[in-house]
Amino acid sequence: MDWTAIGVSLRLAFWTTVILLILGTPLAYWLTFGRGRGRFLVEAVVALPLVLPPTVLGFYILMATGPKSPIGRLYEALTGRLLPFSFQGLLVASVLYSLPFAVQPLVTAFRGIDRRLLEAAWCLGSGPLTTFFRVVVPLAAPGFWTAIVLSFAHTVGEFGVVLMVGGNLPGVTRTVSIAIYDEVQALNYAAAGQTALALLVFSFVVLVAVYSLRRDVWALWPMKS
Amino acid sequence: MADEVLIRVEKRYPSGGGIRGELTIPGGGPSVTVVFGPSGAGKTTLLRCIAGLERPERGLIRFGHEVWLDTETGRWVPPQGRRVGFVFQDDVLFPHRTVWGNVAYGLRSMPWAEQAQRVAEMLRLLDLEALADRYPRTLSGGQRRRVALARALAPAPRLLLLDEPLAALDAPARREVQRLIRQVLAHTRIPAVLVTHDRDEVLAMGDRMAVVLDGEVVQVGTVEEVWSRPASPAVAQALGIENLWSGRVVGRDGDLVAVAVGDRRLWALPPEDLQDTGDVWVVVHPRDVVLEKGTLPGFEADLRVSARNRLAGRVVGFVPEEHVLRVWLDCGFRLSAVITYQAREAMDLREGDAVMAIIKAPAVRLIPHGAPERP
Repeated sequence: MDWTAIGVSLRLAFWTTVILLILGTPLAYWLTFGRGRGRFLVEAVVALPLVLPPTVLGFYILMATGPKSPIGRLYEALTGRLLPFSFQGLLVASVLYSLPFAVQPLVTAFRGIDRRLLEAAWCLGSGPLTTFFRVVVPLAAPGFWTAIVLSFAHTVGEFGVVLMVGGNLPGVTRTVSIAIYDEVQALNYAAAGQTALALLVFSFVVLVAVYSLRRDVWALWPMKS
Repeated sequence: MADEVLIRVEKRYPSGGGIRGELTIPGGGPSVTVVFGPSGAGKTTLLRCIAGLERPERGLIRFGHEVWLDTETGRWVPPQGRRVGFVFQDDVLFPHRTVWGNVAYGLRSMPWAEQAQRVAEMLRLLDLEALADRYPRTLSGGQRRRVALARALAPAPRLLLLDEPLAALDAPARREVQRLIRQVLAHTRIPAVLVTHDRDEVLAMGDRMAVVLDGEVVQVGTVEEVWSRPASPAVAQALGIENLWSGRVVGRDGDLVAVAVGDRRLWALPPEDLQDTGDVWVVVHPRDVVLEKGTLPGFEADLRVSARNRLAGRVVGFVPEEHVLRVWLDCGFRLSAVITYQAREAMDLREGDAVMAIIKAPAVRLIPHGAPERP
């Protein structure tokens, strides 16, 4: 069993989920409550990874973060390293790839909140940030759990984007799905089977744990418990 | 006065509707200003402008010396900075917080012990102590309304805004909440603005009133002023022009109570929540008044007639209406009666004629107002 690859996958999924919550929450909040125009444009961009083949997304991320692109050059100037074929590069790709899986459950959860609850909080002296943490977050908790579960699971399961952006460096960018692919290519079915089973069991246990703890988290679509 | 509130706003929604007008709320003590008008007239919008939940295109809102809104200078104070209590039409309680947690919501800046004390005080004031640990979804309509009131009052707001506080409650809950609101306002001495489309509520709760019709504040004044001198036929129609006098309960005889109106005395069937003394509004529908011509003062008891009230007066004017004629009398106060054209013809009734206005006791409606004593 490829423990190193499992470690890379879990690390990647964890950090992707953390970053997605930090980025996705304000984005989802703006998409729900914001007054700005052009929201439909942002919505479309956020949803793109759902319809694009991972290779297309991976290709553009590779181009955008390469040493010849402005982003790539900026990152190199700041850190002295290159983004592609590094764990950080993989993280950037994973965040973009799983963005809809974090943002959409959050938007759905925020939309379910009566706007007047926010107004009631304002009249009771709560500023926007306090209102967010004391009213919006507790009421949108199922949405947050769904966003966490889906981002994590989706990142663990990604393959195409990782292959395009991360390559196959053991301990750095070689994730479980790539490791299994490699073993199968090398006809090591036993090793592939072990790792695959480990991944299957892990994913199943996580989902069972989450769904048994919270009946209001939805798997892939909004569901009333 | 110290904290007089001046409100002058103009707000239009792109989809139609809105509000325009001016209104002042006297400061320095408890007063209830009722914003009255039919549904959809713009009453709630006016309230939301005062709270800072709507931003009018043009206007000035001043609380004492504080300017909350001035579109000329671009000044705008957000709702958090206004310290007003807002009781929403359907309560809008926080579903994830208990009754205790809802009431405590606005007290976050207080030390914990003080917070607990304040919440306990509010729960006691609104008779909610037994429900402190319950969640809003398990409460009845009247209980939820009381929680909404307690939550709004807990941070000691400088102005209380109530949007249809008695709407969607059944009759016993209505009476209970109405009594509590009056009691709480008298106790806390917070001026209030109350929105309603119910005339009885205006009379029961209001000191001053503003009439809103079709997106416009059309008349502002004391309840008595507006009722006795409607600014326009539209206002009169909205109020349902009835005879309205301010009276005082002065006695009781069996099932009936005696009410002094001016120097006259009327007998009426008392409503349930009437106390033995105190101010009441006396309402008589003009159609319930019978006129008897030629009776002179002094003959105010006629043992052959069942009606308990006989008021001697003089005809001061006629206003023709569709199918009927409105007759204005002077009985020491103004009284209007509605009679048919045939009746006027037959009686040969003219201006200046002495008449007796006869009203059955059950037709005299009493609406208690002013704060009740604390039990």
